[in-house]
Amino acid sequence: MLTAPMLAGLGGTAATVGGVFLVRRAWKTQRDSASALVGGWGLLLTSLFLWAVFGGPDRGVAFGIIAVLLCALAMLGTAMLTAPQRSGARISQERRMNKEAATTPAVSWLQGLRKVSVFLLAGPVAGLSALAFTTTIFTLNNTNGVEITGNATAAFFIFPLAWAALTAAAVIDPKLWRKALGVIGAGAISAAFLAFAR
Amino acid sequence: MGKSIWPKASPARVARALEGHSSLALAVAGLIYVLSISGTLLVFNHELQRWEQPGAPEMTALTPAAVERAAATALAADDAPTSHLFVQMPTPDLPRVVVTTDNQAFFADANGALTGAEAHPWTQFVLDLHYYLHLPSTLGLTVVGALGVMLLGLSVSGFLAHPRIFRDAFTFRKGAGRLTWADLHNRLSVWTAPFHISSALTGALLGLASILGFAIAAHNFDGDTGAVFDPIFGEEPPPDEALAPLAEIERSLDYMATEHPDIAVNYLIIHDPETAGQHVSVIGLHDRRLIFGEYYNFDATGAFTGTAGLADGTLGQQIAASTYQVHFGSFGGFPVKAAYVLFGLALSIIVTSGMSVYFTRRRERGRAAPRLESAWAGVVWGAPAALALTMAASVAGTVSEAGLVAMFWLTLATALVGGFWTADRCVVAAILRIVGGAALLCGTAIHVLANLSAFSSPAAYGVSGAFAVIAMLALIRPLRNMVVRSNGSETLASKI
Repeated sequence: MLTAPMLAGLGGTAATVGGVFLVRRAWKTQRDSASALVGGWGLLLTSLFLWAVFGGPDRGVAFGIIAVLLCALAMLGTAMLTAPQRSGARISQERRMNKEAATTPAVSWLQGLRKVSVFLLAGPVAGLSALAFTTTIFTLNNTNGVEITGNATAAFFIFPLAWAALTAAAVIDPKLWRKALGVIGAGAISAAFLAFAR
Repeated sequence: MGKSIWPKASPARVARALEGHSSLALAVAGLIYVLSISGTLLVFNHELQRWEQPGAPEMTALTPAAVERAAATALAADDAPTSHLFVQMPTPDLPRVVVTTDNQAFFADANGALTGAEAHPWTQFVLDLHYYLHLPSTLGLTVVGALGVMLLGLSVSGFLAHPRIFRDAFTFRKGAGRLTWADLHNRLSVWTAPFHISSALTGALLGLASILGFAIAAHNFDGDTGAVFDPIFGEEPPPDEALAPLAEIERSLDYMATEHPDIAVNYLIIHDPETAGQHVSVIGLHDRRLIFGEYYNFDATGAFTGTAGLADGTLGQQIAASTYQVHFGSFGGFPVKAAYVLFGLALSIIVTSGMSVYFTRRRERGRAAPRLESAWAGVVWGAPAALALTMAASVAGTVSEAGLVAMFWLTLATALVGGFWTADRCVVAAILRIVGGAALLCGTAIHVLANLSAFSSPAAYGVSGAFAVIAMLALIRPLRNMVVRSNGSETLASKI
């Protein structure tokens, strides 16, 4: 006897497969595929709702996301297996270059220093800035009476996200002074706020 | 022709993002790879624990009286005082009862009698590798959390560096050298993004919560970290160290069975046992939820005093309590665990294929770095080989837990340095595959011989079978190539 959650699970599976199939078609077509794209995402959202009925409000959505990933990976695996083999020209060129084994040009001490600076900015300095920024956000919320568990949990998420954003900005921006200004500035402003807010 | 649905990206921005993505990956890829393969292995950490001691008593349930008997016996057997006593109740993936004090851990049988010491040194070694990289606890957690942040940063810079990543989400070019590696890297990155972003975020959150808690407490609560964490996970009453009889565990469990028959008890914790301030927390598993459980609290007489609110408290509490299961993949039994292993392997392939793209591009530009590439092959194949060697040494009982740590890092360092020295990635990969596969096979065989009486136990054959299959997969290619080589038809390096 099929129960309502089991039916929802079956419906969720069907909507997942259909949704991934439509999104795949839309992305492959690349042009004038808005209807397939909207239909695909609509089915995927519906599938999450059905998975929530099947497995519980939060756990079911996690099941649904896993199902989408598995379905997409299966389609990707099929694409990998059925893709035509390319000509060997590129491979033989690659092998030739491998044999040449050209040496790496020497890195000047200035370039080396720049790399070390970027590493420090993107890693520990960005981490300290993010820590100061997150503590500031928590303190501001706390001062304004935001409920403590929500405030603390939000801070736990903000800290790694802010650090990751500063890290990405530090490695992507081509100008060292701008990287330093962004990363150190974010931390300095936050630290100044914390110092005055004591 | 219709208009493309995809926005145009600035080529300069894409190039900058790609360069940043590459440099960040070069700095952290090795350690992220180690965390990725250890995390993948640990999805089945309960199964690995069972496998290490396949003969331990297993059961599906334990009576409240037996739990109380086991707790009392464990406390009596403990020479030194303990601040907490934990009773792990049987669950589907770990159908055992383990009583743990601050000083030792015992298995208990269905009657509550202690049957022997619990010891899973290899699983513990892998857990310590994944949680702390074998560094001192807070430092290790912070470093691992920071690596989670770097993985998040790589995801952000990766998406910025690949504006066609969604448009080409199902495209794959086979046999196209660097383009094949790039396709593999980008396709897996897109389709496992929800997994690796959520794992990196929850891992970073768990690793960095301590230092953030210190910072917040230092500025807002006069350094009292309890003021940050207690509202979420519950507060402990003040201790009273005067001696007292053991708390009424049986009454607490009877209450759970009567009032919450649908909630399975996962853990029972006695805080400050046999003191006047002792109290009992029961962790109940809530079916159909992502939370790791709810704390049901009792006083020493077994009277219910309330819950922490992880199941039905504030949204902040419920989200915080859900991060663990999202990270560890322990919320849906074997199917979810299998999916997490698949995604974890995909993350490992993303890391290795990304580095392959980098090295191939260098070769194509006439800036080959064979030593670096070979050293990287040493990390890629050396890490699993080192894990296999430690497993074999552990089951053979020849190396202590501290020795396993030294063995792992020395093996990995040797593989890295050896790779750099030989400057031939194919030979390095082949040797390490043979070493790893042989160690895994030997370790499995030693485990079978050492546990002959429990060989047919469900705790043993699943993991042993999986290890044997993985060993074969690791060995088959290099051994086949050795045979080809001995026939003189091809060189080892050209084949791999």
